Amino acid sequence: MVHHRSPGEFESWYRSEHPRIVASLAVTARDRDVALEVAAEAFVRAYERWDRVGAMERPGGWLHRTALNLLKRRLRRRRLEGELLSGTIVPIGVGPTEVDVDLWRAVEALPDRTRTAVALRYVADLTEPEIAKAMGVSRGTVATLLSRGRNSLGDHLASSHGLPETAHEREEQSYVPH
Amino acid sequence: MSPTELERAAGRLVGEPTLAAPPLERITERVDQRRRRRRGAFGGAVAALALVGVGALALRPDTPVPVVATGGDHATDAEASTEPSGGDVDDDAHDDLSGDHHGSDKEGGLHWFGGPVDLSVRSEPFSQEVADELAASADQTIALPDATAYVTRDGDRVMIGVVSAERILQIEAPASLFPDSSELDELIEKFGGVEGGLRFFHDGGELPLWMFDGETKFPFEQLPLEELPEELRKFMEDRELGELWGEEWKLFGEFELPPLDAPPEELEKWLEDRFGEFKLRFDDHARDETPTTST
Repeated sequence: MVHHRSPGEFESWYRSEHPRIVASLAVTARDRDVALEVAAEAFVRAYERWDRVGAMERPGGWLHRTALNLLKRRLRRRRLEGELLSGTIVPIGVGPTEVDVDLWRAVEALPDRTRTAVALRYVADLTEPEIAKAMGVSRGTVATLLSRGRNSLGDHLASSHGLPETAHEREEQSYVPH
Repeated sequence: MSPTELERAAGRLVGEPTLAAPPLERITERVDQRRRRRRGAFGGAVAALALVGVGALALRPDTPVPVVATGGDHATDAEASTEPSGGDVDDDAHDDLSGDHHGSDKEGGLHWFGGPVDLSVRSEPFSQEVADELAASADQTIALPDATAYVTRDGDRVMIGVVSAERILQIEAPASLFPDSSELDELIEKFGGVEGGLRFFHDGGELPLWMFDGETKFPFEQLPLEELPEELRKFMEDRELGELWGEEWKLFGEFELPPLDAPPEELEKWLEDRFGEFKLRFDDHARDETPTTST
């Protein structure tokens, strides 16, 4: 189904998508400044093509795919310039609430593709087919990456905090009978 | 860790006030600046080229104006001076541009997305005669650092090329790559700008052969060099194209990404609907270093 959005609708779409895409890119890139720059460029491109992008059923999918491509280009250039961070984990700097600091640090430590998939699924709120399209991988690969990511995060948080590893175990532990 | 927990954490992250969108003017101003720059860049390029006598003029498809061919230092280039005579090379060029050789190079075809993609690649050492001919037939040309790029639409084919002092590199693609002909016109027009993106580059172990506009692309960039078809890899290595493609030469274009997760038959239909029968073809005029002679 085609949704025709007027030029005036760009602004509301821009405002609603901005936090999500910046957060997603920051998690993926582990760099808030890069995330802001890439997001801005993606929105510029969306604005230039709004007659086409605005007619898409989910312009957010296009936006994230564009942003991810831009990000990859940016990171590749950085790598070529010898500025790669040599494995150093850089705080994403998006100001996660204190309660989630450990979680996002654990996300930052995930391998690139796994981290990207997690960011696109849970932060960008893309569907698995949309993630597959954005990353240029199969849907099955996305499912595997997400599963692997969740397991790694559970393991990481459990080992660093002595937390129960599964949601069920956490619920059991936090349950206080009345 | 459960999906619900991650979703909740992500919700809190996205809800951070610091991530609120800046004023829309930041975006619209950038768009305006970019449009002005495109116009200015193209005019500047034409002016600069006119001064040095090397290059290109702005051409619209409907206003064919002869293009000043590359010359100057190029003409004294040692490699260029060893090239075949103009007539012979021109003949080869005509063969290339016509696409007559399609289907003659099954081994060289790069099969991708479950189907062959027909994008021919031509590469040969610089030749003034060929450069002249290509430039003269171009719909649009633009100066790049140390090179001139051109785009030509000829019936159902589109040629995109780069002429440097060392080499002529051309990709020929079916015009049906651009389903809307007005879109192609727009792309040709945009070709004069600095944004947008058919790109040639090569960085280390990967072969990003071309990319469209940063939005959608053929994922050649994800293709590790060692996984390339033997002929293509040898082509790259023999020609040291990494050097040639060291720069990101943004030309134009955008492209819709195929549904990579679709079943093969669906993907095949997707490709057929858009492109018909495609394959990648390499016309390597540099392979035989002996100058071609007429018989």
